[in-house]
Amino acid sequence: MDRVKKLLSPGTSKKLMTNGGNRIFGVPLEELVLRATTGCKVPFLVHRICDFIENKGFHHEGIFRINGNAKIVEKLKTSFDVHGDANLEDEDDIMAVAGLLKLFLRELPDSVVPQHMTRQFVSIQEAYKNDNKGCINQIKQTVSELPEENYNLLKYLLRFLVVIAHNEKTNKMSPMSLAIVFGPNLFRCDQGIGGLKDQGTINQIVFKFIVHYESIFAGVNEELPVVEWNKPEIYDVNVNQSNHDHEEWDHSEGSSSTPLGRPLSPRFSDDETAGRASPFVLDRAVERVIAMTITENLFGDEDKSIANSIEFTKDLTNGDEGLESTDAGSTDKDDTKRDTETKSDEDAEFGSIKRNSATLSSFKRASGPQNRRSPSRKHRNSSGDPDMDNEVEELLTDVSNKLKNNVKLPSDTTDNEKNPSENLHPEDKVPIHHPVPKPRVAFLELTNNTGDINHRTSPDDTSPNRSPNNNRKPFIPPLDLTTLHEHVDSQDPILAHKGQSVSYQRAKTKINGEDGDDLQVILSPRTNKLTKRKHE
Amino acid sequence: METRKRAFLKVIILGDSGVGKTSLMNQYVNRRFSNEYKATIGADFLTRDVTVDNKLVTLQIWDTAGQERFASLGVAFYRGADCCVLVYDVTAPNTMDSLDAWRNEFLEQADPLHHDEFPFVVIGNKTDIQAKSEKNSVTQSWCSGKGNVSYFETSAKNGSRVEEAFQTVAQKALEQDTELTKEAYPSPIQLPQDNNKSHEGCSC
Repeated sequence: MDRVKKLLSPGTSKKLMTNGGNRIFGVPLEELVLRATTGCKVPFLVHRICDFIENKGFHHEGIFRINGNAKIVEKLKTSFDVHGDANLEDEDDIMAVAGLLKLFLRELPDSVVPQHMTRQFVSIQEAYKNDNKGCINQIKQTVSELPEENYNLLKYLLRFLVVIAHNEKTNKMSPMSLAIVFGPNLFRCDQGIGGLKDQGTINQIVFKFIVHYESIFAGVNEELPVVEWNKPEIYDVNVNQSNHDHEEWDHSEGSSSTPLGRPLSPRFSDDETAGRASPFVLDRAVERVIAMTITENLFGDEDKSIANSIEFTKDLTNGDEGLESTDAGSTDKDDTKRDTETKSDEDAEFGSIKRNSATLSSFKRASGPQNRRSPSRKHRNSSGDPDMDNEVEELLTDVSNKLKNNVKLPSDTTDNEKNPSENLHPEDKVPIHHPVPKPRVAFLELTNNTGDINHRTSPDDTSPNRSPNNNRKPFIPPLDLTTLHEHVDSQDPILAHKGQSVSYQRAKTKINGEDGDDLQVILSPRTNKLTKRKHE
Repeated sequence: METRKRAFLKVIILGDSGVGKTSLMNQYVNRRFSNEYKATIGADFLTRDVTVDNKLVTLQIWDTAGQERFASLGVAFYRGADCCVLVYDVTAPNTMDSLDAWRNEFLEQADPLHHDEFPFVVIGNKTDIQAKSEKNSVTQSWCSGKGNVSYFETSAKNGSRVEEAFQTVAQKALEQDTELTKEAYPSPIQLPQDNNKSHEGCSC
């Protein structure tokens, strides 16, 4: 897209040259912070854009995901570079403004999280993938080592994203979606295939940044992001009232509190990593019920503003994972029940697109072929998989064992399995309703789950995961897109990354009624074609 | 050389973020639509077998991320493509304006043999929200100006015309593949039949 933008306005670079002193894009962060007005810890542009979006409202569907108009983005960029500001209000394209913020981050000479630290975060995510609490602690530690300007900007942006995610109901941007979109802008991974794999891991980190904002970034006396951002709009009058109610609620409900007196919300699990509906949404529904109940019990027929206050204050706690959570009692039970209901519904709704074998299995199979191929399947097969039973429960055990033993899984889904104390949806363990969900993140987070599709749906021996090449290529690297076009059967030397080759397995479907004859790898001459063409 | 039993065709789906690339692929391959709203990272692919001209071919459909950051990854994904699907959102006119950029991006990165003849299929998606694209005529003329480009308006949500569009994709991809195969494997080199002669000449 950058190239596109340059094409669209060829004169931009010249203008920039003559106004080098005021440039904003591509200028080191320290310099921009120095230039910012006193008291402002982040570059003016960031502040300006976040304010603008806040004023416009957080409800725009797909904010930060949808591309803005490239011409407008370029125009705004030029305006910032030349005049130091731009008339964002005139453009009436909030997506372009959001895109401008992303562009700004990408064009920083070094990323918000400096490039040399990317590796550190990747290692943390990989090392602590089964220990959510430890992971958060490590992330917090590492984040605190960031240069001051970078830390401030990161924190500022994350506060903003927490609020965006809080409005998921209207803008559809769940914490995971935001993480996917912002991951590449906050961190800088290597170009190419290895970097792409890291990107998946990094996105998990960004997801944790958003979901565990309070644990990672929030200071002791810091107002929670949602209070701060929403205050001007909703809570000019009712702030005191709301604080009061908050306390009332806290005691009366007897829910556990942190030492700071904040109630913990135990329902914020890592389910989102699994592409499930955001816990925010669930929390809201649950909290509404609680709030209504409390209002009735405590305040009788008091007016609705109080109820809203309660609801609001309770909302503030959503971001808390409940690391020390031992929230028990009647509320919890109610919540659980509600969660189950809501989730079942949402699972039914979302289940269709998740490439999640277990989920898919609980639905009627579509008439279309379900022959997703992925190199990861090879990986799984080669690890000596015993015949799988169709029982989902066994599948789950199997998966979790594998995760423990030998499969790199950058996603967090195992957390729910391993840390019962943090698994705040006990019903998740009932696999019929909530099989271990897997994120749909393609090659970047290669897991062994894709293979499950076939275990589930084609238990017979001719199932496509029994590739004839399994024996020949016992090891398949988890991610190597460069070789995806090669064919194992080809006699031609594979130029790039010798010895690493991914074979496509001919997936077959019962629907088409193909027999074993079709199971052989289909040759494509393209590799040869390309090679030949070059030599011609 | 014709050891393969079936044509294996690679198709790339490109377009702005949120236009429905993933949904289209899912509708076509799995006949499902999900309301889940989630950006794609990098790329992903699904396959489906389809019959074209009485020939069974396997379509490998690559769904790519529309996010700006991933545009530069193209070369790894685009290589060896037989057809490219450009998707825009009929309810968001500016996504149509990006088609040119995506097309150029593809041609530059994939660098197919004949840029002007490479098959593209343009899909205006989300007709369930808005029955007809505002940009219908603009798109039509854009397509006719680019040579080998077909145009469809589909809905990944209700499945309208998705099948039709991808049938055309398969058709074009097969044509492209056949064409390339011809060019890549010209008639075999004839070795001179003079073995006997040289043998005779030996005076050892």
